[in-house]
Amino acid sequence: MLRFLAGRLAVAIPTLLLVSVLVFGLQKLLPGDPALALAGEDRSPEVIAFLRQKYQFDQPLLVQYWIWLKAFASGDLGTSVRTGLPIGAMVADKLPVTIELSILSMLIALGIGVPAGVAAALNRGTIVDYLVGVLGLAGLSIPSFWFGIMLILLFSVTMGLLPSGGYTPFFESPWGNLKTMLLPSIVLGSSSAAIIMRHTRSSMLTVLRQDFVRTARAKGLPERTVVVRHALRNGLIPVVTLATLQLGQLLSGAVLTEQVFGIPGFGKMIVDGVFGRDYAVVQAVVMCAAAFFLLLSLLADLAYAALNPRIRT
Amino acid sequence: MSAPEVAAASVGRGWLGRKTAAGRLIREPAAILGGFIIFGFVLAALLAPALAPYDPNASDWMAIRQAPSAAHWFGTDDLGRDVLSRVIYGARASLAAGFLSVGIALVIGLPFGMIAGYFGGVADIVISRLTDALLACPFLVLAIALAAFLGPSLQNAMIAIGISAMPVFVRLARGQTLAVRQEDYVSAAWSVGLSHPKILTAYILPNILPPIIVQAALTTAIAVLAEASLAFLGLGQLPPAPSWGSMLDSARQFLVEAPWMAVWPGLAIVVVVIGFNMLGDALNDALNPQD
Amino acid sequence: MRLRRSLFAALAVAPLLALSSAHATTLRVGIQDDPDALDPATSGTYIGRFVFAAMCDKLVDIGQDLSIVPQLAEKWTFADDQKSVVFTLRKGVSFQDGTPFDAAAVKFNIDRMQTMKDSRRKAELAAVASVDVLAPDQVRLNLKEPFAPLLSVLSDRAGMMVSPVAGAKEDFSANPVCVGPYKFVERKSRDLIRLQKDASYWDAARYGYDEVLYSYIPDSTVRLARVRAGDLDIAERIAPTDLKTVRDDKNLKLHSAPGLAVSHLMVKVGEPEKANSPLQKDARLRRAFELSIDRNVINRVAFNGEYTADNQMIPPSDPFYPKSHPAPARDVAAAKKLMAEVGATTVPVEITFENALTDARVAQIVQSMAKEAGFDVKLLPLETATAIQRYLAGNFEMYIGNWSGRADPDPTLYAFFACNGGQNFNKYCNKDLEGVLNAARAEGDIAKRKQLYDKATGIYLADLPTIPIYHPNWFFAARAKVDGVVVYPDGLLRLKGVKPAS
Repeated sequence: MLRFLAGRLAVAIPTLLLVSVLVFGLQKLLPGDPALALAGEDRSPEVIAFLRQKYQFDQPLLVQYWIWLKAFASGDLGTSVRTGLPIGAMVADKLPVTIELSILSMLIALGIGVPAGVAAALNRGTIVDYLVGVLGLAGLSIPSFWFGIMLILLFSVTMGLLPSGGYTPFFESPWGNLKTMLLPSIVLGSSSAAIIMRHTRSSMLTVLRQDFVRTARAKGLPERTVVVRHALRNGLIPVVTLATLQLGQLLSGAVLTEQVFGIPGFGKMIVDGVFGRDYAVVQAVVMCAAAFFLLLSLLADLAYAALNPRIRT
Repeated sequence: MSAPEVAAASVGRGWLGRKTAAGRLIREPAAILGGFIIFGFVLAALLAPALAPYDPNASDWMAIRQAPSAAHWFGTDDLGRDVLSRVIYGARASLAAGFLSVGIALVIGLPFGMIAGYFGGVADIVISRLTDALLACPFLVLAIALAAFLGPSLQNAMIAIGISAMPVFVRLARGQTLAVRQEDYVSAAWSVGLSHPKILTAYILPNILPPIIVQAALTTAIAVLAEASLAFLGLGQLPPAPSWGSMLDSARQFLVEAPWMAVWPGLAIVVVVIGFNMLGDALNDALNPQD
Repeated sequence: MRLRRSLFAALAVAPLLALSSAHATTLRVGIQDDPDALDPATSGTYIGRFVFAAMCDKLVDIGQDLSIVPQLAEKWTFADDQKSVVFTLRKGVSFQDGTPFDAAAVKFNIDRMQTMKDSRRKAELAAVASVDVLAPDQVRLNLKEPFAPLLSVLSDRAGMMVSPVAGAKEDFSANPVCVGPYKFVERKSRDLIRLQKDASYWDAARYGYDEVLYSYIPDSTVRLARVRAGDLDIAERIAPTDLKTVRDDKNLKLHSAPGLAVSHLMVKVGEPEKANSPLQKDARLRRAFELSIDRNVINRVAFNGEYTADNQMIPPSDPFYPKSHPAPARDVAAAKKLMAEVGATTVPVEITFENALTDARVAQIVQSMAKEAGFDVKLLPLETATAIQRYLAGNFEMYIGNWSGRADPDPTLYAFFACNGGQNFNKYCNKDLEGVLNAARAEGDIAKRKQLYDKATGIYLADLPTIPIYHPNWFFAARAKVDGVVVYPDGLLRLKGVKPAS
């Protein structure tokens, strides 16, 4: 197990470095001088020259990268050129918001996906199976931003039940926080719910055909016990792995969801960073996202190994 | 699923017989419906000038944000343009983005994946690490950054989506090539001294194609969604040309007064994407018979 | 059923709990942008000024009619030659950190803004040669040449006084200290800024809230939704298309003011050696373009008619606005006739703009209208940084400029129309116009200045280096329970007199 971990880490670190090179290179290729965007309405050459120098935009690319890498390695994510605030603090501010959103979304995705997938597998070929299939397809096919707009139209504009966006910190008002997070979580969770639903169904179908389930049935155990004790336990192993990986995918979705609902999270930080030419912010955020993703895939492998006795070595 | 199964599946008896992939495909209702949807939209895109009741960019200043009516079935938008006509024309941007960006992803991803899987060694390490790095960046974030770098236009959005979708194909092609490479017929080809390009194109490519086709169909669905997302963020089709994503972007401002502006383009996206997903699922079932 | 009832009860009680727990009164304001650095010397955004309005007093302020009124300076006297001005300062005033405010502090601030490396006030204060401290409450600004707009400049960021103690530090913008009713408490980037009432402020009694909380909510629809839900007390910049919602909501009050800003179609006219667009070469084609568009339709379609359609850089609400140059009505036939005179039937035009919804909508309307006269308009929406880069390089045929405007006409007209003006990126140069603008600058008499601006307007409207289209107006939505909200033409929220309704 330790060797496995060490091997994975040995791959993850160069991958992360490569991500940093890619993102860095890409950003430096972006057209538009960030100093100009920063200068705002007052665009005297002096100010622009000063800004270039202040943020080292005038240094050679390799030097800029080296400066950044050194700082990053020592835990300094840099300074936002837009607001002059340290990015580490910004990330610490935004990350919890997106993590909360992701966890709520995943809870919704699991809460809908697993029971629906199991129900479809147990009632294979019936109307239940068919309905779950259609739902799954819809979940995969609805653009999150449109789904968000439609939910706002229904629950905020027409019914006036829920806020159409914004964010209330949990510790300021837990209830207000949940109200603002409900719609975004549903939107973000919907595609994961569909994927989990489909995988649960096929995994359960495979397991239900296997010998130990047949044996359990033959022993005359009640169907409920067969399903819950034997089939579900084994059928959910791949789903756990999948859900872990999906958690990493949620960030991609969070970009749009946070945009639609105006949630000041990580995804919004990326979009604002890209549009505002806030290099250091984009760099830091993508690095965090990639590290997070690599960590999750490691966890997914570990979970798979831990849950599946056949792989344990 | 392993490669020999696929190979066997694709060389069954009688082209449309019950046992062949194509035969199973045309007996799959999902495939028929999916294909029908896509065909319908392709037709709409091609025949847009004949089908659309109005010029999609013509404004009627006296008919701004009008609810659906006999004159404008889907209503009019914030600039007095016919929403139905814009939805029909919008199919062009969406489908073009779907097909072309997957084309780009395939054209780049497939050769690299095959090279990595076939030759191994340094080429494999370099390509695989790069792929890992790209895959570690969230797909949409990568597409947004690339599209912003290239500048807003439909063409650039397609390139951005294509590049972002590419690593999936590299990884898939590599894995499949690795498996196929072990097969006897490849060793045989090797022993009679066929050149590498010949083996890659004549022996490996046809046998790794089925899963790639499935992936391509599913990726087209993702690409259509991605194009709409980029346009929604202002990184796609330039105004005034219609695109479903940018239509939704401007609709968002008028949710209270003109909800129809948001409903139709969104529905169009959903239906097209469902079409591609159904086709992809059906292809998957047909090429990998399990039951 | 029981569960449902208790749920409803919880729903009903929750807001009450939230209300009763707030003893100190907080004014929650939704803002559209996240301010840049909070330092009057380096700030470059409207929203930064918006926050400063509650935090930093200026030497002088503007009134609702754009007249200059006392703030930190109680009175001022210009020398007869207009080349210096003596300010008498308010006594007993101190900065939010307790440092006393006096003439030396004024000198420190002017020096700081003139010498700080990344100061953006250098151009505004270029006319100031030196500052003399005459007495603790008397300070003289010596000018290089007569400069009538000086007071107007000092009514904005250049006139904001920061504490010399805090201002000497590197990290001033992280902990700004001014003289002002509310002092800085905390800032979370892209989220919020919190200010707290400074009890020792010289005019503290007239400020009704204990705390001001600015929340960054970029989407105007979301801002409106939150003020409707009662999560905010005031939302700035409500979209014109949402005004009906505000007017129909009994819990809200709409506050508006005519704005100083202008949106205009700037045409690249200079550098004839690089000329490649017909509009660049011939003013008649620019006139034809102007005649082909209908400003009122743009206003109605894009802004529900809530903005002010106009043909000048200075808004009609400005006391210096010359009424003798009304906007021409749309006349496609006349436009075609002008084009025929030049010998053109179809004229290609490319409009470059920052890719925001508002400008994109205006551009598409313009495109569609100009087409009828025979202009083949191409649209080039660019992402902000790229668009600005092109703008600065003069690399455009037509550019949708959005200028925030100033309380005095000089900064606007001089910047855009003087041959070396700070915003003159279309390289327009007319020596006659420049002469008139210089004369207006040196003119102390308001009536005479007004005449000069009338003349200047006639010149630039004839040359038409830019085609102004409309002036945005300010619309703020506030809860009805907030008393005393007044929006000024500069779009800033002055909190004097703002208090919870009893």
